[in-house]
Amino acid sequence: MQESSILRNTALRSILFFAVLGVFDANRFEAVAAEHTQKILDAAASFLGTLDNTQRGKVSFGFDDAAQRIRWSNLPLSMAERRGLRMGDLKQNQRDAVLNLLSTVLSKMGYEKVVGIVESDEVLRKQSASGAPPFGRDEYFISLMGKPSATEPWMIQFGGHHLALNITIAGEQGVLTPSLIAVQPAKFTFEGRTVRPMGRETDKALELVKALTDAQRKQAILGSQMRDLVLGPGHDGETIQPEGMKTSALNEEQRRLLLELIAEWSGIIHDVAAAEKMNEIKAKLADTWFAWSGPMEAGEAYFRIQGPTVIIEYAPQRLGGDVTMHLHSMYRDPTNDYGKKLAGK
Amino acid sequence: MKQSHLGCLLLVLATSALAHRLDEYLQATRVSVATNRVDISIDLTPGVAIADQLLAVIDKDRDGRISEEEVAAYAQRVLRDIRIGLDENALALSLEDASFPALHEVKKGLGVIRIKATAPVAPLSVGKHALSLTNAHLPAISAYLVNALVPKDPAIKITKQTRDELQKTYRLEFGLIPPSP
Repeated sequence: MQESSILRNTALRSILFFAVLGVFDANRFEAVAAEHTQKILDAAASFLGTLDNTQRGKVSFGFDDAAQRIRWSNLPLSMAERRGLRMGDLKQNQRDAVLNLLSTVLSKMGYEKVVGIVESDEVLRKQSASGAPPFGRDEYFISLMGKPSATEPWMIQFGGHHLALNITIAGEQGVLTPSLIAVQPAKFTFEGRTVRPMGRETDKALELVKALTDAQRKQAILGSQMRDLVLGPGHDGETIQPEGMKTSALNEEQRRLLLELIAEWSGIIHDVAAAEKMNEIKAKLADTWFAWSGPMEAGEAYFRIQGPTVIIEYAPQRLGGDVTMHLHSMYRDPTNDYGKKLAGK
Repeated sequence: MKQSHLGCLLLVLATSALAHRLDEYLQATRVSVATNRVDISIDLTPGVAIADQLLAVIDKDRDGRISEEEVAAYAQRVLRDIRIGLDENALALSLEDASFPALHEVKKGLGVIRIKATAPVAPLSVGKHALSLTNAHLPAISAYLVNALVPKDPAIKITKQTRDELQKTYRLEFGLIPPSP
């Protein structure tokens, strides 16, 4: 599984690399994208093939099931119901098949981030007293909405505490919005090494705000406390007025930092869909805004990136003591949450 | 007995602190402006440490349940504590909807009380306008968020949002552009 994942990503990356160099071969790109679509379908079929009829019934929802679509949250299961198949109820080969599907539909970076978030919840479980909500790697759910198809849109939902992936797939296109990416503890030790599932975005955001000029920072910094996400769970379809500084005023280096920061969310999905999304975001960068609220310290401040086709919010949480250890973020596209453009809605 | 209660409370606080809001009452308001009305929606989330304090305010008859009448009365109280004005004229908010979560959710610090209200306004004239909002509901325990939604009417253009540090006071400046000839 690991090997095929690495090979897949290497092939995609070389195509993207040549595209950047200007030797873009559209036919080759399309061939790789089509091949990748087939791999996602194969992984979905392989997962479904490990299930019995009862499990297949539980994991499958209609693509238009409005109630299931919004059944996601930052909260643990005891506080916000999920449906589908619970990881803790699956056999090892079935769990492996779920992870294989995720590793196929996500980029290497995205898959590692998701695994890191799940493992952080396992750490939280071990740290919790008895009577605490159900945390840990068993408490994540997978569901499929619609039938995996090379032509018709369908969705994979995977999530639990601090994680909600809503991945819409239509042929070679993929949409990751809305997705909630959060973590607690934000830093932990796993097999002898320090893991920070949201470490890069935390550091890159600080690097960006520090790279602003005083005048730019004055515009970007909001003069009020932001205690939480504004567009978290339950706020589908809302678009708030953008604030802060318009990123059209950024210089080339600042723009690079901004795009690298955005890529921490847009790049969670597999490389073909991520490249397409990043191109869309770049095309509308002149109408994108950056806002910051809080101290200029890593993981202590709220920030928001908002453009015509992207909204990213990052909100450290006071709950649990150290705000840098409990991070919430939200990734939305006001024009395409749940892939509504792919679904023609 | 008292010790075991204290132990339970500490356990609840310790485990709650891992997952959800603790010692503040988050009041997140969204403001939506149209040419003939202003709508607000408020999500109120009491933290676990102040949930009992809030329930004592809402559960007027102390029967341990929150009736529809108590929800409506509490929603009206929240609206009375919110002062809203347009171009220096006070607006009267009318309650449109209020919902109250399950009590056990509130006690765990996760329940969200949702209130929607509207205020009719005289048809906006072309030009600049300013809306002001002050939320004075339970300030000792509250944290506030206020944001404007992008107006559905493209003729309304928001130009500026200003807030105090705690977001108790908020000012929204916007303009109504004339229709194309």
